[in-house]
Amino acid sequence: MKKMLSVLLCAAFCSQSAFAESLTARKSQRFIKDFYQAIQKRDENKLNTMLADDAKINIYLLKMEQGFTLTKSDYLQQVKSAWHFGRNEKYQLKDIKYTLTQAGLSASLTLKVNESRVVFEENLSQEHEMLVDLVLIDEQIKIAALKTKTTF
Amino acid sequence: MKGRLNAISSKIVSAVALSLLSSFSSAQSFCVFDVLGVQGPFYNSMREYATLARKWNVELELKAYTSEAQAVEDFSAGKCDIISMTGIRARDFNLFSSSIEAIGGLKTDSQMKSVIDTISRPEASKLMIQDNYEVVGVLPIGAAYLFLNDRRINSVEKIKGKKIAVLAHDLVQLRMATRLGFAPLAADIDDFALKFNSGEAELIAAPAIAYMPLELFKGVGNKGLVLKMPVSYLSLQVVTHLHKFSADFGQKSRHYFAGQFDNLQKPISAAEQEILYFFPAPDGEYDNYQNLLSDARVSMTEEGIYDPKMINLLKKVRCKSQPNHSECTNNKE
Repeated sequence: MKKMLSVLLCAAFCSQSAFAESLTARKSQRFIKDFYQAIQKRDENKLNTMLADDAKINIYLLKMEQGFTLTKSDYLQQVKSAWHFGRNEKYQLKDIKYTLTQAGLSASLTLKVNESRVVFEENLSQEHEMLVDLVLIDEQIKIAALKTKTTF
Repeated sequence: MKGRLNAISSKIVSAVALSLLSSFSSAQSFCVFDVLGVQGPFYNSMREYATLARKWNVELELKAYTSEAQAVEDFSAGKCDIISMTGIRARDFNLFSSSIEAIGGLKTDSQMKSVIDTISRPEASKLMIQDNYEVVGVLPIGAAYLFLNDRRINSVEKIKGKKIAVLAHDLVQLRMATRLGFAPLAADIDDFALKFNSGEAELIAAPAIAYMPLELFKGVGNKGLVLKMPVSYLSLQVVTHLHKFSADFGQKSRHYFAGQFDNLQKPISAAEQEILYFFPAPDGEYDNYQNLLSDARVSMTEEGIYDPKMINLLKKVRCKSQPNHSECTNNKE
């Protein structure tokens, strides 16, 4: 009986700790760095797998004091057209902070991103203050929501 | 005697065959408008259409026009039997089919496909004939979007009074611009984009397929924005002089073009992928823009600018997609 109980307890808690390990601070931070690396490398397929299909992207333009809500396809389209028209892209990530929610099934990150590129022969740079929600879907980490306040 | 009869009947058969051949070989002249001439995508689509039309024993002789006004003039003068032109110009030949481009009438590509399918059915054939003209095909050009040179123009209130380049020959565009509160700036097809790219006009409405060829990204620059919300759905329409073709030609032709929708949509979707700073309406503004478009459409229909039957069909298609929308329970359209 004791053995059975410990098996059941293990089934309950061991699996939870496996999830918890999947969205550790280290893995979450690694994920967000990989995400920007995929943007830098112009790896469309990888970006596509890193964003959940129903990901919600909110961009708040500080200068205009106005928000825009984008779907995953809106967001990827903008990333790709920026690749087409831009060059010398650079992304600098800093102040990455991690919060674990729902016992390892989801996590949130806050970070600052400095982004620069040349578009139409003009040097552009933007600062983003970001909040990124990560979830585990089919044992893969994906971005569920991305909120950014930007100087764009 | 028998030999002589044989010779005569053989001559008759040859004469009939020759006359049949000559009737097939007397080609119908086809004025094809394409800004890029024979290299353009519209011309290419019409070349494929002409190849297929041979199966219907119709020989089309294509002539490319880079000036749409000239093509329409030649068609009206009877120099062409059939013409492909934009829906804007098709208004003079069929108000019903050209009203597919009504402002805010459609919101998605699939809605456009649904309307083209509906009007290409045999049940709608009567509506495709007006006076002595028949619309034998409606092809998608894609949604027209608002291109702005300043993203601070970010609300219905702020777009009022802004200078928009419109095609001077198109009374509908002029009317639409004033109805929406813009300050219209008359342009022709040659300087329409130039006026925007140089900053003389603060905005224009154009389809995505014009973005790269007309370099509209120059007008948008790094401070502008392209509003990802269709203002209207544009079309290319193929029109014949009714009596120059057999009675069943129109229906076969409409059926063919309706079946081509997905192929024709591919370059449009690809062009939409290229647009930089392509953003949906700002949060909280979508309904304001939609109300503005809807009010303009209703009043333009009342003025006789749009055909009420088409406007009603567009509403049915919109309401099929969004049955809970408030417009679906009112009788404005």
